[in-house]
Amino acid sequence: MSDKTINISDVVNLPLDLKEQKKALEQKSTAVLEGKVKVYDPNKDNVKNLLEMLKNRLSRQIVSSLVGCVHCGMCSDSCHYALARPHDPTMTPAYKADQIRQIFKRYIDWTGRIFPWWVHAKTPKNDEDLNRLKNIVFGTCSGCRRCTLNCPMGVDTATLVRLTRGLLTELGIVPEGVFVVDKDSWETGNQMGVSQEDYLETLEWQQEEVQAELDDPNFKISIDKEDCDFMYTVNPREIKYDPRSIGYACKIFHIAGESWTMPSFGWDQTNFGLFSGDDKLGGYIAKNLYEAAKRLRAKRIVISECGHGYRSTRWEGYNWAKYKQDIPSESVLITLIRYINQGLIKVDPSRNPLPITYHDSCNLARSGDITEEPRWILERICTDFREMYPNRSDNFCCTGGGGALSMVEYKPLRMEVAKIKADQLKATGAKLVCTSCHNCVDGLSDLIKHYKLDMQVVQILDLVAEALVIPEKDEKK
Amino acid sequence: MEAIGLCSHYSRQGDWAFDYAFGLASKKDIQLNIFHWLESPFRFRREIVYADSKKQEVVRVTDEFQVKKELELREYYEAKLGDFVKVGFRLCEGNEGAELARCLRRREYDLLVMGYLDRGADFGGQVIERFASNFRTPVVMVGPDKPNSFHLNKLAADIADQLGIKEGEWSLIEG
Repeated sequence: MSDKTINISDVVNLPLDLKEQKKALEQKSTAVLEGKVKVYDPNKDNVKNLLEMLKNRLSRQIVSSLVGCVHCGMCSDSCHYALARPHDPTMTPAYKADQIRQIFKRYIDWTGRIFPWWVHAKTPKNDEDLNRLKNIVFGTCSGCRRCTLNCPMGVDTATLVRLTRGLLTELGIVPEGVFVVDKDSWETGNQMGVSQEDYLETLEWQQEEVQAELDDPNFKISIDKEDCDFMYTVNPREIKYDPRSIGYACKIFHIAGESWTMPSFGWDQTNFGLFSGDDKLGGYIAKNLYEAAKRLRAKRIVISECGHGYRSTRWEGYNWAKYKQDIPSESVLITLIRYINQGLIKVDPSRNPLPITYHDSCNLARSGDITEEPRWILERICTDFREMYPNRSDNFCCTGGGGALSMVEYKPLRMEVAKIKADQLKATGAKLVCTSCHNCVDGLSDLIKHYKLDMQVVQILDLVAEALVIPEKDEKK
Repeated sequence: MEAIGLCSHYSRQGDWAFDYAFGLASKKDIQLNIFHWLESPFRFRREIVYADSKKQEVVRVTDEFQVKKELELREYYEAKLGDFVKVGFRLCEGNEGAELARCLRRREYDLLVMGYLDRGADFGGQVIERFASNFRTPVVMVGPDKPNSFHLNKLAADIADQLGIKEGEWSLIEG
């Protein structure tokens, strides 16, 4: 190993930081007082509680992944952590999954109960062991599921990691960032704690921007309008850090002559429950959105560019919320394809002349099967598209998946293993890397900065907005 | 012109930008609003920021830390401001571009002055020239190599005579 390699025991032994939990207690956080977000209690028998919860969380899918691993090592060829640290066996997905597998074997599987030494069945002894488990499942896996596709037995390691994260979240044994985001999600209905006032002000601001650009004072971003063709839902990052993307999307909808609205509540299509493993939180956030669509009698839900938001809203949220899927949902990419196909908008690819490559978001491509759609659009909006290898469902994670961007303590390791992605990006020779996920924008930006790559990150909506031919405006030019 | 917004930075380019913005605000007797970002190495955890300009240590933003930083900001400029009282300070968080646009919308300034830290420097997630060129109010960038080097976006170029910058002393920012 090179001198620059991080000592993994420094990561695995990171202590449990409780400052935010204490602060929440002092400030009488409603989410904490109502028991929605758990705080760590050293006086409880946390090991016993974890084992009890594990029994209740087992499903056919989870058990098949727990018993299915034959330790063939194929998963290590797919994981960017293992590839970046080839001499470190603790980075292999099988090792990470074994941390919960050995507990399952010791307490539930008959072989481990009778011959624990034979099947490596083991149990955590105390809260320190649980803390180490926390650092492994939160700090050394981004839940990208690349190993799942590479596993001959179909073991879904990311699901096991999420299960373990969920158990630890119930005990308050979580990284600080996870605690904060969980709390904000419960208290404000969105994962970045954006207030209702800021959300509405940002929409009003974007409305003014588009009005000025189109020279059309009648342009409106309608809030809570009933009976529209679709309800547009966004990522709170768009409100807080990148409001332009909302303006771009709304401008395109307007030019396409679309009837759309945005809800005043239930607008967050992202869902931190996917990352923290908290199904209750996942259900709460998803239900807010589904109920908003129902209340507004929207015919469809359109999800802005976000990988895990798409996966959560389109697929997982209904299970977490135990909600009947009565209103269809789609990625904004599908909406854009429809507009271009039907001639509702016109695009000029010559306006995006720089060499562009595309990064497939794990949750969109591997877990959502959205692989050809972005390429179909890119072929029509830019002149120099360069494929990245490997790509589509075989693509590598941006390293910011699984909520990694909120867990700052693991950033040094994340940047070390990002070398795999950095090399992949560099080989394309592109000046722009396009993705269809806000989380990936940040993950990629971090590694581009770290590895000093001469690249900028953009999203499909940015490029479509740039290529968009606005009839009256262009005639005036 | 009713107010000047200064994007503050503790660097020589930041100081040159201040000198120009302050000179213009005093001359026109208008408000000077100084915006300062607590720089964070992280994207989502903006409450964790660099302790100082050396960027070697990170700290968590607490109320006390915020007060301390605001005091530092005021002290940094106070001596230079002298008797000039039409000045406001604001510690900002989040994306620089988005936050400046928000402040513009709230009419906290109508001319933006900033230090030209470096050619192609990152600002608000994009190249600084592109940000300035596309920004929806006049922008003056000062630097990066000398104090009397002015770079104006198109909107600022249209009112260059009101900015006290003579023909031949400035160049147009190409985004």
